[in-house]
Amino acid sequence: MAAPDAITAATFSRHLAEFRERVEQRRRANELNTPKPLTRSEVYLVAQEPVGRQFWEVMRAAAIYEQESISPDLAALCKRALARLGRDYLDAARCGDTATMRAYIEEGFPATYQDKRTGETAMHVAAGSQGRAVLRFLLPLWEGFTVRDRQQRLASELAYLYGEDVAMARLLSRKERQEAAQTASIIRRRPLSAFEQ
Amino acid sequence: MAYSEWQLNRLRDALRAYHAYTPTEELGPFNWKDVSEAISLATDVTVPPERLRQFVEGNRTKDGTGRKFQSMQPQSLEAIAKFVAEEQLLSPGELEEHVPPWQAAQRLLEYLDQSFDRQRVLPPAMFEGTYQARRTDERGFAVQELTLQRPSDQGLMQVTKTEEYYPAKAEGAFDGWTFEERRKQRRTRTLYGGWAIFSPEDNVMAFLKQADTGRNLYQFTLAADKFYEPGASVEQLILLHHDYPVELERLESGEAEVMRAILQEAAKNVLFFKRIR
Repeated sequence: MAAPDAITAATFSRHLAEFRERVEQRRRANELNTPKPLTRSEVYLVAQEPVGRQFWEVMRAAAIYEQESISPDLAALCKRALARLGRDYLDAARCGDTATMRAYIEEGFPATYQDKRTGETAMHVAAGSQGRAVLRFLLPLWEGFTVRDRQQRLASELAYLYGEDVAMARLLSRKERQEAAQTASIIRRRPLSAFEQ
Repeated sequence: MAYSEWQLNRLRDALRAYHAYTPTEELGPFNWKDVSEAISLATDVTVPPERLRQFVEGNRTKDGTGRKFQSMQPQSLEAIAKFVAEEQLLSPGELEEHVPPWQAAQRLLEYLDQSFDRQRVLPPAMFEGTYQARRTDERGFAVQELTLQRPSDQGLMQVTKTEEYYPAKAEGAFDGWTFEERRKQRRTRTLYGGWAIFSPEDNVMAFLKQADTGRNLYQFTLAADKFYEPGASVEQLILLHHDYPVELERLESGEAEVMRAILQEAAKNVLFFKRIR
């Protein structure tokens, strides 16, 4: 995919600022109202046609799929921006701030964003910090229960070890098994390589 | 090795999971004899099946209100720990107490120590205890509890911190809530552990790690009261908290504007801890 002409390295900051502004507006609106839970199909539709379509086309091409058709300068800016937005999104999960998380997702941010360094997703954060409200928010829209963090841990393990929430651990492990069955794969508590390291 | 209650519970959970595991549809789940044999095969230590069951499931107490768990011989516990690790039911790290490594702290103290100080003199006031900081921002109402243990003669102390988030509107009602009400209202709870030192300049420097991810968090003293009153307890501890540096959006901004942006960000990281215990 070629980079859209409308966004260049020079104009990227403006588009990023506009994205942040839209997120902030949505966050305020979400805090005032009690919106319906987001579903997986709604998230899929938003990802297809986000409000800032051009911005997300560039971000996806450069930072998520790492396509070479994007200029190196713009690609570097996109990766940095995605890491910072991702940190803010995961921080919202850490604080149980579902209004901000929802605003991000509604603006096209990938709900299953995974931190490059720690490998944690919002589900890992919710599991490791007793975040039941975040878990309730994520469950209807989540795909990727079998994603592991950099230490090869599933969200259900974090819920048991650090969240000390047995019910959450059981619910997540059931979801992990269901997802594994759908993809005809076997889920081990931890891959053998994690022990060999 | 002596096991604490939470470690014993983790061993029980691992054995319970192994016991409930179904090898095939026809054979059904393992019974306690199967578990005992598996332990014996893996470790050459025999733990009788009934003893194993009483260790994991316990027996109902006489008044019928609870369960009493059978204790185990140390060599049986060692065998169980070895078995659950071999079966990958628990990794060795999951059975270890979270004790932060002290070597780095010791080295840092030695490095900071000035050779002209004949003797290490610690601040006369008492820092050990539990402090609480509260803050409301766009993320919600945050309650942080910081516990400092009694420092060693060299000025080294263990630190634990919990960070809890509640809805922003909880700020006014929080003090009136019971423990159970707080638990219900709580959105998230994150644990941190690590150590802190007194530098020769009497700064408290705390180095913490987030329990679930291992993310670093540094906190340094900005101010404290009753610092030099012998025997007095420090009531307020104001810490500057660091995680990521402030990223400046535009290079061409003026110095005054940059300074304003930095101070605005830094102000969010100043935490007022007040002693609660």
